[in-house]
Amino acid sequence: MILSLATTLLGGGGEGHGVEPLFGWDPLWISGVIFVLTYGIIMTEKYNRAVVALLGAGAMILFGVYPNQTAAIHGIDWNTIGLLTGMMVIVAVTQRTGVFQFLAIWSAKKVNARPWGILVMLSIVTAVLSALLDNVTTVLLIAPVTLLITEELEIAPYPFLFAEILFSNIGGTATLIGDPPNILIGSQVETITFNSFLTEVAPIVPLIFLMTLLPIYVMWGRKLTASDEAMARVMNFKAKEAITNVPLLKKSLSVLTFVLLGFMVGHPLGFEPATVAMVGGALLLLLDNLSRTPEEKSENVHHTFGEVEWVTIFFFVGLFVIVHGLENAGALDILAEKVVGFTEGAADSAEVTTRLSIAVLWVSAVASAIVDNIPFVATMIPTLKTAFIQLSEQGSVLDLDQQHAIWWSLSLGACLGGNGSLIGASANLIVAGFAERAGSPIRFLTFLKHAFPLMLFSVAIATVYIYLRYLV
Amino acid sequence: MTCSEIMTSNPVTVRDTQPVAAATALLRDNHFRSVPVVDDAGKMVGQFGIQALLALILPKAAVADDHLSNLRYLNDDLADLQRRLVEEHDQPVGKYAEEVGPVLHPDTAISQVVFHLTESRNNLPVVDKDSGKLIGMVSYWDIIGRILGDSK
Repeated sequence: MILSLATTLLGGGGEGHGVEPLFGWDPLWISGVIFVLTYGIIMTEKYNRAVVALLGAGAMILFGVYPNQTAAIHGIDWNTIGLLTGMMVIVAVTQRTGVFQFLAIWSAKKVNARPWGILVMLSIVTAVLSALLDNVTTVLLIAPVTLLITEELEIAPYPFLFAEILFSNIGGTATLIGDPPNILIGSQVETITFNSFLTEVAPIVPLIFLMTLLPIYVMWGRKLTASDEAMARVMNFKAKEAITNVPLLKKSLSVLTFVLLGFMVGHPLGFEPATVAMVGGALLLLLDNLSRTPEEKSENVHHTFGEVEWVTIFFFVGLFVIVHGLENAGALDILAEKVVGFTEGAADSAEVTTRLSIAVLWVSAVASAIVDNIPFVATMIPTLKTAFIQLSEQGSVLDLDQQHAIWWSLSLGACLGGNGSLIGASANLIVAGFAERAGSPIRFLTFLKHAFPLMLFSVAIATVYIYLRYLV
Repeated sequence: MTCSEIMTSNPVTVRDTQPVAAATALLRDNHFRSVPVVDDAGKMVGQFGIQALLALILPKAAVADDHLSNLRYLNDDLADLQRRLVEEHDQPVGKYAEEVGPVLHPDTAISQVVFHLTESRNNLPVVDKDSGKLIGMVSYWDIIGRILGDSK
């Protein structure tokens, strides 16, 4: 059945010359080997993950898993790519205004430069910005100012950076654009919108935030002290001076507001998030260049596009082709059968939903702590979609609400699971990189020791939430 | 003509274990842009120059990455800059030795030396290929002086 499905899919693969699987090998095995090799090499972190993903994608085509290039390109989710790129352009322009440094310094001064107060304020800023922009960009902008503030306070930056890592992933969980796993879920599950995340996932995030802050206070917060002289130095910062370009700031905030509103009202009107983000990015570029000469315009646009994180974009492109290849070859059918097998003996669709939700939540959390949560979720989405089809074929039809409960479990598990280790999410690695360059490296095992229990704690809270809201 | 014919042998150096204060004094007293840093065996470790010195009077977080686009909000005065430098005075200079751009060898051709000087805009060390020991320095004045001298 699997092979016939694969043959059907491969046969219908679009234009161009058809490529037969190399040496007549079974595409199922070829795609499986390429998938395992690619993910394995990515996990070693010895090679750039985008390069590895693109090579894996190329191998899927060259070894004949796809009949042609067109079929491979069909696997790329352009909504995710467009959304990521558009938001990266908006953030690249906005960050030039110095607004993120302003926010960090302003929040530090609001609490009279008291260390615990600063930690709480920076955690809030990180969580909110992570939800509104994305968590990777947020830590990229907040971590350097945090290091500056802790240096002036003459205190260890670790508790602050630790909190920022955790709250960037927790804050990012709240919205469709906050964390790459959510972008993937929001883009690839047709019935899930920006507003769905706001009403279904976001409500639990403040509680997880508070419950995570508590152990951080017990571990470090109550002992954080700085001399009056050091606190006076931070109070001496002139927050307003951080803003370097007020007109551009106004334009950026206007466009950001327009984009966020667009995400909220766009779906009913038929506009996908990528359209909104790309239009927003282009509009901000236009506004940013209004008073420039043609040469300056060209230079400025070139510079802005240069700040887009192309490694992430190409990583996604490669992943999509790999996962779609796996799907076309029928390998995800097997994975889905395993998922369905887990529900064997369930009395009804409600019990199936309960079992799957809890399993997906915890497996996603632990897996996301061990491997990058992006490839994990990229694989899980088509697997679960296939599992839903298989379940309905067996008479266990899950309605939309039941399917959504499982998607929210995937979102919460993957996003919160990213907090489990230093390699769990992109934001974690970025903060660790800053800390190392500033002479305060974050040790893998130290972070694991502190973060993993907190991650489990947050997933436990999410379990109760999912259970009470969707499964009772 | 090769590098060995124009280099200044036995250049002034600083040991990687010497304190930052000693290297700073050397730069200031001689108006050097940089000074080579060597280990106990005379092997080139890097260089300590004006850029590295200036970086020491700013917060480490400000110079570790280029993500802080401005520091206007710091509102520092001279005492703050002085405090940061004094904090580093006793640190071994090897900790702040920067990577030297292109490294020359005694047999490097003179045109190649000039090419590297135009790119690095700093004096360049001449290192023995086998031992890695510093054996000389080439400055742009070494080259210009020889050219002007030859043309007289």
